[in-house]
Amino acid sequence: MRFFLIGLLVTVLGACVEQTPVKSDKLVLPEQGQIGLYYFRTSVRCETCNAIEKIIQDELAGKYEGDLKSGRLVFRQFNLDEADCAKFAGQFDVVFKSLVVLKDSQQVNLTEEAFLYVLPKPEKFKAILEQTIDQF
Amino acid sequence: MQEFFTNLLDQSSFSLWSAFLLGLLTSLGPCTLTSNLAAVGFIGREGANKKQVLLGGLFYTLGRALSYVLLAVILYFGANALDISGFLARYGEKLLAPLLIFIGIVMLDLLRIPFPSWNWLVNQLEKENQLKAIKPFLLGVVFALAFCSYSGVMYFGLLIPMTLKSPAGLLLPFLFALGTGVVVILSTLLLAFAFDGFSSWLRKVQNLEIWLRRGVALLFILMGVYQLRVIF
Repeated sequence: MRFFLIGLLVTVLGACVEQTPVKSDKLVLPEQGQIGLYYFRTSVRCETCNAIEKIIQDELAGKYEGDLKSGRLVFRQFNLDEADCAKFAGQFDVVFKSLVVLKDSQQVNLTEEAFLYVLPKPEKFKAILEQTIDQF
Repeated sequence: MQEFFTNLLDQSSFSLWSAFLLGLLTSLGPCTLTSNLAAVGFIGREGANKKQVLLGGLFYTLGRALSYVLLAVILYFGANALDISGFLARYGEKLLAPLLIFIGIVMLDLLRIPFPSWNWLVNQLEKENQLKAIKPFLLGVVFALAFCSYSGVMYFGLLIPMTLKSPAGLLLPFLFALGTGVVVILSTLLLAFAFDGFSSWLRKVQNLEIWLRRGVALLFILMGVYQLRVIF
């Protein structure tokens, strides 16, 4: 029994180390005049993060499908567990899971709104996201 | 329920109330909810001792408050918020599940913690000062620091900027902690009175303490495994 439970602990701790890594997109800024929707994540998932990602994907496949195809909007996601990516994120003052909308020299960090609203009031988060993209 | 408290937060223009609501919202997030449930189990194992259970809930919340306030003090005096939040949020969410499982296994007496002086210190505090609630207090200190995505954003992204701007200052992290612990305080209150109803029966059950401890240990392990499921 003792060895079984200690084995369980080791397996679980091992599982924590062996996470499915998510590869980052190219570490580049959006082109001049292009709107960037930059999503910084880690290999560790969470319910809130999954909900944020779902809304982003729905928006990209819905309202912004045309903008995505025309190149007016670009969506990139980055894994902060990669050293290069963490360094790249530094220029946006990002150290943890974050959602940033940027264009040229302007940037809006939507992380707080995303986490605060995505589960209890997803429509509100969606509206804030659309408003931020549309104002660019 | 999350929607109700988010609406209240949206309408609040009073920072003390907002900090408390933020804490409440944080306590409903998956990570804090898991650790709070484990804490209720931990404190509730003293089932037959009403006073102990009530004090446990309070001291657990005070432990959380100590971590949140100290962290806010460190940030207030100019520590780099980005560095600290990045470190705690990234490693906290990875550590909570193994931590819960580890505590569960230690409670089952399957692993001995190789820190005799630590055990001695805790035992002395409990014995000499009648400070029986030191363990829930320490649990609160540790669990508060096990930040995950949601609680990390609530604390570092929303509460800390509010704290730095507000004249109420460090009262805000304290109220935030109260918000995160209110579920535990209410649950222990309920437990204390529920147990009170059949305490005479409980006293008759032999080896009750051992079985409660084993039950709580399993609860910790299950919560840890659940937390892993949420994470991956």
